[in-house]
Amino acid sequence: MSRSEQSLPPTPETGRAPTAVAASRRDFFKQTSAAAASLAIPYVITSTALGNAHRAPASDRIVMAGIGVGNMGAGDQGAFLGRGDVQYVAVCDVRKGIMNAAKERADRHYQNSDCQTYADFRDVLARTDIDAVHIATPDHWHAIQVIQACVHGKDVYCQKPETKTLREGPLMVQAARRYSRVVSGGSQRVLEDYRGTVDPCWSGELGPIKSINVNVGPLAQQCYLPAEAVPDDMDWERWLGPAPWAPYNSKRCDGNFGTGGGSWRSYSDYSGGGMTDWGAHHFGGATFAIDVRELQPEEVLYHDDPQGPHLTFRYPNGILLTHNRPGKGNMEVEGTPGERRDPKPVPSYKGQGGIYGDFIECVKTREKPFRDIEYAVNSVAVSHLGIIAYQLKRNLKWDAAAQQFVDDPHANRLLDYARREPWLL
Amino acid sequence: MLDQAWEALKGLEWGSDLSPLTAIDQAIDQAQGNPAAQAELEEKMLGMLGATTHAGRDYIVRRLVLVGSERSVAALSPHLTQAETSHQARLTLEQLHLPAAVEALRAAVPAATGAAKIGLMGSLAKLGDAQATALFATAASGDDAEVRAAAIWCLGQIGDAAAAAALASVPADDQTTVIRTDAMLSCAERLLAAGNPSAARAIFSKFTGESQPQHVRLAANKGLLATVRR
Repeated sequence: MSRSEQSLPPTPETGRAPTAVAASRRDFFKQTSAAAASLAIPYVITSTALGNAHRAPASDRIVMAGIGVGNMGAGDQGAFLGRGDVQYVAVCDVRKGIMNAAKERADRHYQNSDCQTYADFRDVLARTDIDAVHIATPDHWHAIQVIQACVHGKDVYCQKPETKTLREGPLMVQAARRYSRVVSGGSQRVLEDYRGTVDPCWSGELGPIKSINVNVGPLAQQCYLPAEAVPDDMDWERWLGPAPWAPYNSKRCDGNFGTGGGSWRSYSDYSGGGMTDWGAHHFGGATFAIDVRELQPEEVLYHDDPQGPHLTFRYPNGILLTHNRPGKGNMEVEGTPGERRDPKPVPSYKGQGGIYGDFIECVKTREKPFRDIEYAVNSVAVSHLGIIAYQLKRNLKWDAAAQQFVDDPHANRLLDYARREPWLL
Repeated sequence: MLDQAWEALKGLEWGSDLSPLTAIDQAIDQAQGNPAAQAELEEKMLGMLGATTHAGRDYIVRRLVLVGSERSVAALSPHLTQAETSHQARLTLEQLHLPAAVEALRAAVPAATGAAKIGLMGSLAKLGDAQATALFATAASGDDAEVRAAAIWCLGQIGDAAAAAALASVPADDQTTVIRTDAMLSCAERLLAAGNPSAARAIFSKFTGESQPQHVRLAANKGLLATVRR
């Protein structure tokens, strides 16, 4: 496979030749088994290949790789490495130290040195033996990498927040659906942290739900940190990728979980700040609780309150989702006192092992995962709509079908940003 | 305050204190819905484009998204073909959603090369500029493999009958198989959505064979089924 074919989108880079293997793992097993049979001589299959009570046979394992393997990526890698039904074969990161540490984790787990390393995610996607990837790069990379993974036939587990802009979401859903890929978002908290809110809503005991409140923030800020020397083990241009050029600064690209400065999660070229980073969890949990995961708000009301600005999102079914409403707690629900609704079973993960097990089970069965990319996109859209309302400090009307603000050309200018060449979306 | 802000913007460097610039953002907020005030701010920032730093231009092009008009198109267009400034110019022009901006982006494509050309074509594809199809078709047959692949992707994004025809006429090569397949499937889906199932069917049918990867066959067969349903 050539450099250009891997290049989706293309780059002007003319670097090293791809290290991807040409034949798939299953083809290899098929061919070697057939060859052995035709020779009619005894051959040995190791216990590693055959599997055991805790480990599926090699032919039944999901072959996985990690793209972005520091911080949350390292955690995701650990979760997948610990599964007997996964064979973890490759890691990719623009920072060599992090990449090598991830390789060491995999090699230590399997007690071999087989895990391959890549600096360019396109080399991972070009490998035809890889079934699925987990992605935990900074948010500005998610859409491009998820879509290209789908184009190359991979299933995807993508860390939250899955999108950086409103425009990205439908494109990610489109790619997943076009190629019938399993694409799971990566917020385990949506199901696991808010049962105290979710269960009374779904059981019907609160009656028809009127509203729910989410407290989360802050918004991301622009970053003009000074230039520092780029570390020898880091490919800074590739870290920036589609984001506007800016000089390297260790705080600009630090993956720590702070959103108040000093991490990429704090800066608007790479993240929506706490509004998307924790917002993916909180808005995800709230939209799950009030059962609007298949919808997006149709209206955002901006309240210029002396106690601080806050928002009200109105859904097409009339339910309200408020953000930072004074006097309201996080995930505080308002039902209809004295009324009950018919209970509904609370959706949950499939398989074993939390959200990771849900993803792997769906890779096997081709079902939609709990945080299917469409649900993820809809919940993070709440964050993005909110960010734009706070930025413009006014009300917005949102046409979810058209993915446009209604009669509002200035707001529509904020649906996306121009990606730095040569990255296309 | 605003005068001090403009002065600070002139010398803005990576690492500068941003607090003096707050007055500009406040002025932009207050100018919402006031075209005259927006024009005044736009003129001021455009006038500073050539007198400020890279960080200063970065600051300006983002604010022009909020207050920009055809005046910004005229001022930023000359920067589109230069590798060093092309993306900064696109940061404003792509998001203005103005016909004049689309025309400027299109006009810049022939003179641009390499990554800048890819960026311009990507902006036009994103904006759905069907008038750029001929430019994409030319680039899709050019010598630069990266530009060629980008042009093929852009044709898929346009996805109308002309783009599909242009894609079909691009010589096949091993370097662009994946991107070309995705572009063709994108065309087929768009043609179907536009009410042209027979054209969509003709494309989907090309990707159902055993030689295609499984996920491509799935996409093609699903598409074929959808053409029957219509």
